[in-house]
Amino acid sequence: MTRRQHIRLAAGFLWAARQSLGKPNEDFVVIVHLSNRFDALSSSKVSYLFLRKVSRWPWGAEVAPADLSGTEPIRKRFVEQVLRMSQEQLAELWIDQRATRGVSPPVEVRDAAAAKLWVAKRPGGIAYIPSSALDSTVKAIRVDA
Amino acid sequence: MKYLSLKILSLAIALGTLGWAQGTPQAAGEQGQQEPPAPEPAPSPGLPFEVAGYINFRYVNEDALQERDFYRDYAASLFLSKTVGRWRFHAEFNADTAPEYDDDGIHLIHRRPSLSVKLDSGFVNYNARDWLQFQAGLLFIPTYWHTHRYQSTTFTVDDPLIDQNIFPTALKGGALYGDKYWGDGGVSYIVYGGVDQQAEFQENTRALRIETARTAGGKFTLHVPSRHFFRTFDVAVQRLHRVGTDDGKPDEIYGVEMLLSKSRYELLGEFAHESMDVVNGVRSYIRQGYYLQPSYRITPKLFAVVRYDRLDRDSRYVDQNSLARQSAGLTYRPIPSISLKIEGDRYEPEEARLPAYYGVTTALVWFFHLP
Repeated sequence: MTRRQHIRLAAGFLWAARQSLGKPNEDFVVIVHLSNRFDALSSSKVSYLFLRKVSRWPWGAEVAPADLSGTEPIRKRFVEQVLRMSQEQLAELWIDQRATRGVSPPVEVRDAAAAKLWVAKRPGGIAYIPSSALDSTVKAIRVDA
Repeated sequence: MKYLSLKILSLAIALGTLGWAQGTPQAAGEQGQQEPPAPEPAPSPGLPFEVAGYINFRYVNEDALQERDFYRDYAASLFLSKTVGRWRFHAEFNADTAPEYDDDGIHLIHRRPSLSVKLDSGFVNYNARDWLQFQAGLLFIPTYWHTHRYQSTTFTVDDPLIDQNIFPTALKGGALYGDKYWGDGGVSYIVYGGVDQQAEFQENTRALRIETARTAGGKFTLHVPSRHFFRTFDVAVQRLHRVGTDDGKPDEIYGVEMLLSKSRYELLGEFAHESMDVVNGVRSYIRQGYYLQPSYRITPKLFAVVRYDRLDRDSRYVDQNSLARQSAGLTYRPIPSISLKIEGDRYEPEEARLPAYYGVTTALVWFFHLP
């Protein structure tokens, strides 16, 4: 193997490593149904919607949040940045809510495609997906700090 | 007997409401006509409602002064829930083999001869707005600890001394409540009324008696906005007026609560005060207590907690009816649904007139839910 081939191989490994490490750092986007009247929400409001502290949109549609599977790397970022807690704290919160109020956590979807499908079918739907998965079936809203 | 009949009645109410929930799917259509309601997470096949619960095993040092016995406590709680549009039904059943009170009247008394199964709460909830909801059935008096007292989420094994000893445990009646949030703050309120029940320790017979009273009360909670400096900053006040159904004498109770959390730190505290048998504005005696519980999340799975709590059961005999306790413990949660706890306690009875004694408590808790 020549020196040039060694460099190409090393560069290939670096690229692959960057790709695999890059996924957790990918930005997420919060999505809602196309009919949703909001273009932006504060992170506190998004948090209330996902934590089921608010059950309806102002026009009466029932809030229907969907959460990505716990294995999705982007979930950790969403939980920490928007819900402002760790995944463990979130799991503990839902145990408490099930026991004290009989309230279940948002439905868990497998991946971004399932999240988009969930939101596209429900006027009150809200979820988050990797920004690269955004398409015209749903509406992205800006999340302000 | 009265307590037994109350339990049976409550059980009937809970089962009735759950059955009614299954039988009226059209109720979903009552909520906003604009679109079909988003479905809740689907119940597991064969179950018409959601099921959750926990199983708890405790090993406790008997805290009687001259005794050093240990006892084991097996307990299980089952939560049944069903949401149909704006209606929600929720019932909590508890089964345990544990003794409940000691001969101080605070903690433990004799072991029950057999398994005890009872309905602890069962209610129907209607959500008109998030800030205007209605509940009816067998409800808990909404003190912080008693609302969130589940072994899967508490850091300590034992409940604070004031729990169920000042504010009554539950009431059969109704409540209006709601929440309103803005920014990162908000307010919550609850107004309730009905007939409450409270286990009262009888000094002369050293036994428990279930007392009932007509009750009206309310609680206001301020979720203090802090620009996300704190994760939680809640302050609450609660007031309760009750008139005993047997003696007709009124009691006045008030309480203050605080929950503060930031990063890995949490501070929880409650104070409660009861003026007993108030006649013409003059109380016969007071009962009061408090606890303060700081905790620290050492790692995502390991917690350390300490607590100081104190209860003065009767101001007329404060040197005989007070108990203070200092606790320190660790809770390990390998996964959020499993908790392993160990706690050491130091008791100071009768205003430290008697020597302090010590106890150790351990617990293993497993929370489950279907689906």
